[in-house]
Amino acid sequence: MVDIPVACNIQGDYGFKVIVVDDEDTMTEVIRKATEQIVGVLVKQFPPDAKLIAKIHGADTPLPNTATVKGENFRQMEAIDIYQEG
Amino acid sequence: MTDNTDENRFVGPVMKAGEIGEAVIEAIHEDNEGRKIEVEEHESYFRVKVQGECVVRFDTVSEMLGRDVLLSDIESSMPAFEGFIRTDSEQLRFLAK
Amino acid sequence: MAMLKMEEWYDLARETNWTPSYVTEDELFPLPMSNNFDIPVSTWESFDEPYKVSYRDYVKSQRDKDVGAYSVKAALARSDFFKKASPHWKALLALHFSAVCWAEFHSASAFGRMTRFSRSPGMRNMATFGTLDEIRHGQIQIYFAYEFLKHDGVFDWCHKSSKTENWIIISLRHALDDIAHTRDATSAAIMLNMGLEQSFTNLQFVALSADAAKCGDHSFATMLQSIQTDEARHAQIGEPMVRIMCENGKKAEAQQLVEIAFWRMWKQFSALSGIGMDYYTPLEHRENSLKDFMDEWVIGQFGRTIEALGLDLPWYWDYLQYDISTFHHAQQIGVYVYRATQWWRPIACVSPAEREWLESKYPGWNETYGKCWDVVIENIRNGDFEKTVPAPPPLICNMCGLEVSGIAGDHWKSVDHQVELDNRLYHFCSPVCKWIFEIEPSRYKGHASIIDRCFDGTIGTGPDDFYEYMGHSFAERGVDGYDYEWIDGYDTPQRAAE
Repeated sequence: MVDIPVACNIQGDYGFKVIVVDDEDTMTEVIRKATEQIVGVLVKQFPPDAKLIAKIHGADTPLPNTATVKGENFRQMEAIDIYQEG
Repeated sequence: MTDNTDENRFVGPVMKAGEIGEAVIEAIHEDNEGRKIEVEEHESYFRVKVQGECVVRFDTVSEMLGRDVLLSDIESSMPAFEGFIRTDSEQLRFLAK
Repeated sequence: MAMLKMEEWYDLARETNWTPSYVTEDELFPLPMSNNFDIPVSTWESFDEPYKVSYRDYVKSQRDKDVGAYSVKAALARSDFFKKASPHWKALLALHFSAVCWAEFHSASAFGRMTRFSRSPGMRNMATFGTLDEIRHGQIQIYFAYEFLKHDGVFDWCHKSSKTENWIIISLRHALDDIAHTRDATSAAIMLNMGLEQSFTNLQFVALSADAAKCGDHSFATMLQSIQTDEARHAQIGEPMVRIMCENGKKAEAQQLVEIAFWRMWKQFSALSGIGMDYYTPLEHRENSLKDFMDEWVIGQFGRTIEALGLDLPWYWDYLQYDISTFHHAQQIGVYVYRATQWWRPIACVSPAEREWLESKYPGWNETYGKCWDVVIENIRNGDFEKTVPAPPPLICNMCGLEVSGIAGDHWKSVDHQVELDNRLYHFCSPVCKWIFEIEPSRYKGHASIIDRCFDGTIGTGPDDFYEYMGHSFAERGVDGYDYEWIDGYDTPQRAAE
């Protein structure tokens, strides 16, 4: 249980916001922590049925929402993109 | 050949709006016969563009203004310029290359 | 007795080199201060400054300029211009003066280094005048700014800002330290004269003076232009420097110095002039957009100058054109939403009419950056002012110190350029900031951005720790300059146009 800063760019935002997550958080939890602070502040609400996913910035494919920060070897200040699937 | 190539580049002073600026523009028309001249007017400055080379003779400017003008007087009204500048006691020149 | 013309004695008067006999050439001109790039001193002595001036003429000319600028100021002092100026213009003046005054004064140090350590006598002469110029520029701007101190305490930051760790000041100080204050005299001359003075100062001092004149601020417009007449003269040091380098097999070195400095300064001016011209200048007084002025002064005039000198356009010239239409729009959002971290009162400048102007100058603005503003405006309309401030901090570029930003809204594009070095992940806003880092990692890798400092223990985690670290008292945290009364325009009785 270690805190780690992660830079998150949520679909629609102009840039990244740095949040602190727990290294045992799943992507679902990381996405929740990021979106609850930025959706409705700088980006509009996603449709209720939207499924949000996260991708390490620069990677080809998104991470499964069950993946954990520690399991994916996130580096300190890792940058991830959070966007609507599909 | 476009206007952006070295020797055809438009060069010249950017003059603050005012009587010295106006006298310089008139003098440029006088002393740069045969060269294409354009003047772009902005709110607080004029950009004078002469193709290839721009000559500003101090005695011509003095004549236009009605009193003696030195390089330092022109400098005080010239916040910028385009081209390679050359100075001596009689004139200012702006070169395209 | 007739005086000699200057050209009859000038060449003799400037020949101040001698062959040292008590110390070696290298001791007199040590490499870290005076890099000769392996070009012999006899070649450096061929430096011929294009804009010649004698000390006597300099003193007369500078006195006349000061009389001109100060007399306009005095004549307008009773006009109460500042008291009647809109929050737009007040924000612009606050930002300009508190960023520029100390930067100018510090430049005197760089010119002082050139005065002492340049191999060329002609350059040492011109740098002497340049040193005096920069002292003048620091003093005149602080003097002009201090007129407003009795109306607004924010102008205290003209002097104070460079002594703080405010995040914008860290960004500017890092950039100027990199190009001017930690380089040998030759490199600093090329970087300062070509990368800053001949390229960007015209934006903030000539182009902006046009906006100022339209706004009726003739005191500021006159001051800006007066300063720039010095700049036009002393920036000419760059021309013979670059010619000597190019003609002696050092074109690649000169090219890289110009490319590094130009980009570092572009980032600073995109924020300073970009926000100033496209947002803070009142709409009815804007002559041109940042893009228009960049096209005239930088893409146009400076691009032609570079090529005429024998250099190539910087490798990132196409990328620059993309950045001109994007970066400062993102920065303006950040400057506004994180307004408490600014020392002046930031303003949004996205009323309906302003958005229409932005769309006309930057087609697609409403679908991109405008979408973030839509959310901000909706919160203001609902009275949810706290929701206009994001809780988490932004990611900061490890080179320019500004936000790592991309494209927002419907055409969302996430941008982040990275380097992993010694178990640390560095982030950059652009491929160019990354490229500069990779040229000399040891030079840059030890620096921590403001965000790095939040997470490496430098800055505490209490609610006030960040502001105290940056040097802001509670009263010095920025608030909306219009108190949120802008979303439908400015035509409310208490905010009538100036």
